[in-house]
Amino acid sequence: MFDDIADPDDDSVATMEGISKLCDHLGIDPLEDVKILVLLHKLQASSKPAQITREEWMNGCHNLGTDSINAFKALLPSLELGFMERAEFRDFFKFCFKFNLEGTHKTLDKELVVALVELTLNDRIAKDRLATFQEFLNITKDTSYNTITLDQWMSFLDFSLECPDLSQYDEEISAWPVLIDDYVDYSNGMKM
Amino acid sequence: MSDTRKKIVIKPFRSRLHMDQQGAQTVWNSLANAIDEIVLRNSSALSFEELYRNSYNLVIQKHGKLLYDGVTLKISSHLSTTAQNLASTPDASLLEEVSMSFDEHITTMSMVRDILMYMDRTYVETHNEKSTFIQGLHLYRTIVWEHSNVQCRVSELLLKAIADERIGELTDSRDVLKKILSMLLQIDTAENSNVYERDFADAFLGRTQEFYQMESSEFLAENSASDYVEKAKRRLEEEKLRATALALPPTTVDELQNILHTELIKRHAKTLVSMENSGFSVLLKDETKIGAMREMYDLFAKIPESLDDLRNALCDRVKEDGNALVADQERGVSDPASFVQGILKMNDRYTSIVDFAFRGEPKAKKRLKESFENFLNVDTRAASCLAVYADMLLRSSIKGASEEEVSILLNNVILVFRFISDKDVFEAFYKEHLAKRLLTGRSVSDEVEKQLVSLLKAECGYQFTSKLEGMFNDMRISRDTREAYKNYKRERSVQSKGESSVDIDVDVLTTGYWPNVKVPVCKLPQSVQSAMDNFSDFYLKKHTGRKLSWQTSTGTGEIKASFGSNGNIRTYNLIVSTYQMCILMLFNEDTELTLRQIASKTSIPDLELQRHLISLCTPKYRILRKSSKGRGISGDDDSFSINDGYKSNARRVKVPLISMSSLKDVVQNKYAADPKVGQALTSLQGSSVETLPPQLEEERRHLVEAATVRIMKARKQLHHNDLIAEVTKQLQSRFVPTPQFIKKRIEGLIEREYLERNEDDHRLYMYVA
Repeated sequence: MFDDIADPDDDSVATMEGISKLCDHLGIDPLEDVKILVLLHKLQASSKPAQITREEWMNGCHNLGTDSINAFKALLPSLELGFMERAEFRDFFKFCFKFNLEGTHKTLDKELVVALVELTLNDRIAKDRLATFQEFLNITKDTSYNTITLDQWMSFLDFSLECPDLSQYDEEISAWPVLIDDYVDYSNGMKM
Repeated sequence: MSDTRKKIVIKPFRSRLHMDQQGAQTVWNSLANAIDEIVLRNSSALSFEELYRNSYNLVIQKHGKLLYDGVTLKISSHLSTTAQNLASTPDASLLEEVSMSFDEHITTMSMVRDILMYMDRTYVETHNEKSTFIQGLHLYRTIVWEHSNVQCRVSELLLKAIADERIGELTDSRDVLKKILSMLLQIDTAENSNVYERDFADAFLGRTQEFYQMESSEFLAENSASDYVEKAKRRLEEEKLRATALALPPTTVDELQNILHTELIKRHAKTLVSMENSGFSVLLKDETKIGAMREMYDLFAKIPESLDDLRNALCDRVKEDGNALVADQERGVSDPASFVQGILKMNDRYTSIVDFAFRGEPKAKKRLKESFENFLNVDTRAASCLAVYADMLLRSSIKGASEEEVSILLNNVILVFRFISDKDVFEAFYKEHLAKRLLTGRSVSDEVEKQLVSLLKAECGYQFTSKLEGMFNDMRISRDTREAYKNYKRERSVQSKGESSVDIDVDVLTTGYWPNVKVPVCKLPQSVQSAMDNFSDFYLKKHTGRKLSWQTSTGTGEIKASFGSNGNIRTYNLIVSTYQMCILMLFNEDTELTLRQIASKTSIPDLELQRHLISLCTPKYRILRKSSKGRGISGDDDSFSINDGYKSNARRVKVPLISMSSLKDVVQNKYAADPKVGQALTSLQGSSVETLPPQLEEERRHLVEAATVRIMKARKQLHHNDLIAEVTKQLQSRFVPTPQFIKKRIEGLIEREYLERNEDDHRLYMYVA
């Protein structure tokens, strides 16, 4: 199965092209469906961004018990994010960030982040929180937010889960990244 | 029956101790009579021994009850008479009569008690009855005091007496009041009753509160705050004396004091502070009213919490004055020196208010310090103004001043310095000014310079002043180097290749100590360049491995210039800047040059070129003629030539440079619109800028990061609040970082993997080894 998606220049890895092909086989749209990311996470494709090695693939398939495309297809429903526990989802969320990094970069572009949170957080945090956060990122003129760090990424998740109510938020003593403080300002400003 | 014959009959022994009812009654009757006599004060005829013995016998013979009840009845009946008498006594003499009757009763009961001592010790104890004396008081209370026509009237009379005293009317002597109160207290103590409170104290306190509530409000409505304070003081004294005179018990005294403090002080505290024309806030504006302020302080001190109202008023005042001072400085009405002097004056003024009016209390001192820090640190202007002020002192003000005066002036600088939280900004500006003073030889006294530096060192530690000290060292070493160079030249009789040599005096500065000036070297006249090269050779032979960068944006040159022609030649020695020297020397080759040409021939940076060039064409120093009209340079094609008609009265002419603000005015619009020019102007200006210079911003970032890493390395893990607190503590002698600033740096360190956030607790940071 791996040979089918392996990279033509280096058959020990499958790159985005190969992964795209896999999606075709599975009948899922990689841009709209988060399941491919979940799958890659479960296969533990964590060595480098945007790829999965043959070894990872072999081990992953063995662990998941998938020996054919049909087996994969059967697995798909269980990949819904709703089934994941908090701790596992957190790991997955971290994986998403790392997997989407480009080359040696340590941060993700804002636009990508806006799309990714839509994909991953859609049913995991309050809808209005997600929506206002995306708005905030799109509107903000602060250039330091043109890229987002892993710390900011993970903090947004933790923050959304720990602080559903923004009225109690105290910026003076907040230990969340400044991005979160600015987001809260924006969000509270909207409500006024 | 009787027998006439005398016979000796032996009667059987009959114990006298046996007494029957009838016998007992007889004994009692005699005692009863005795009591009557005692009451009538005829006791001298009685034998104490007999009476004691009689009562003793009664008790021994088991007639204690008879005795006890009898006494009770007897006393009661006497007291009833007393009560009736008092009930019909008119008000005018009631108090006196009551007091007397009680005294009498006490006397009676003392004697009766003495007689009945045995009964008290035995019968009373075993039968759980009140002892004689206490029973006496009990009976007095229930029969006399609580008589419907006695207690009420007496209570009312007591209260009226006090009320009258308060409004200044003559009343009975306090003595009788005291006696009656002590009577009530005595009864309460003996019987565990409550008459003192119930029949006097409660009402007394209630009336007191009403009285003072009304009086204080009315008085304050009609009089000034100081008059009120005076009156309150008097009332408090008065009440205190009365309490002592009446021997009021401590509980009453305490409650009385509470009421007085509440009604006289607490209730009106805020009014006394804020009222128009005479409130504490107003007094603060007038230096002569410091005595009145203290009076108010002393009054408020009785209720410690209300002192906060005074402290707040003080801080508000300081804030207002401070903001006015800052506003003046901002509008340009006052210059930096006046600003600093204003601060010093304010400090004197408010310190003496705290020392005298607030009696030097630590809380007020602390609040005062905070207030100063608040208004001074809104932006960095205090730091820059102080640096300018210090510069002014060291350039001129201390000339001719005595050692003591100098000491005072320098200590004033330190005084203001302490309030400033952006101490690094001050250091940066101070360094710039110091550099100028040292290089142009303008400081009045080297010793005083060093004195100030050592004062700064005492405040902030070695690191703060090490660079400054380095600057002094450089100057000293440069002097030595110049000597050595002179000797070197003499010994070698060096002639430069071709050109006649020029004398140069060089100051060699260590880069790290002095303010950075990264300006490229301009093109110099050959003779000057050769002299510089010779010096470089000499210096670098002595100090191999070093690199010399010539700072052509500084320095002065002396040029011999000849003007005029045809026998009327005037020669002057012009003292000009290095740039001006380069410019003027060009005119040895060309009679007329455009701006563009001058720029390319000298490589002097744009804005500086304009400044130095314009300075050569000012009305007073028109050494060059400019083709365009007006004060500014019209453009690249504006041309210049030597003004042959130049005249001066002095042989040596020091050509001044126009100031940066003049330059700003004069620079043509086309240049002014260029943002780079604006930035250049601002950075050249140096002083009085409200935003932080960029190199300081960077230095601060670096200091925070270094401190954060240092702390985390030592502690391994630390909570957010603790980390912020530690970092702030470590840096505050230099500047005060905001928590947000520190947080931003923490985020940067997380990104660069020096630290990480704990997975379970986002507020906990961990050091990454």
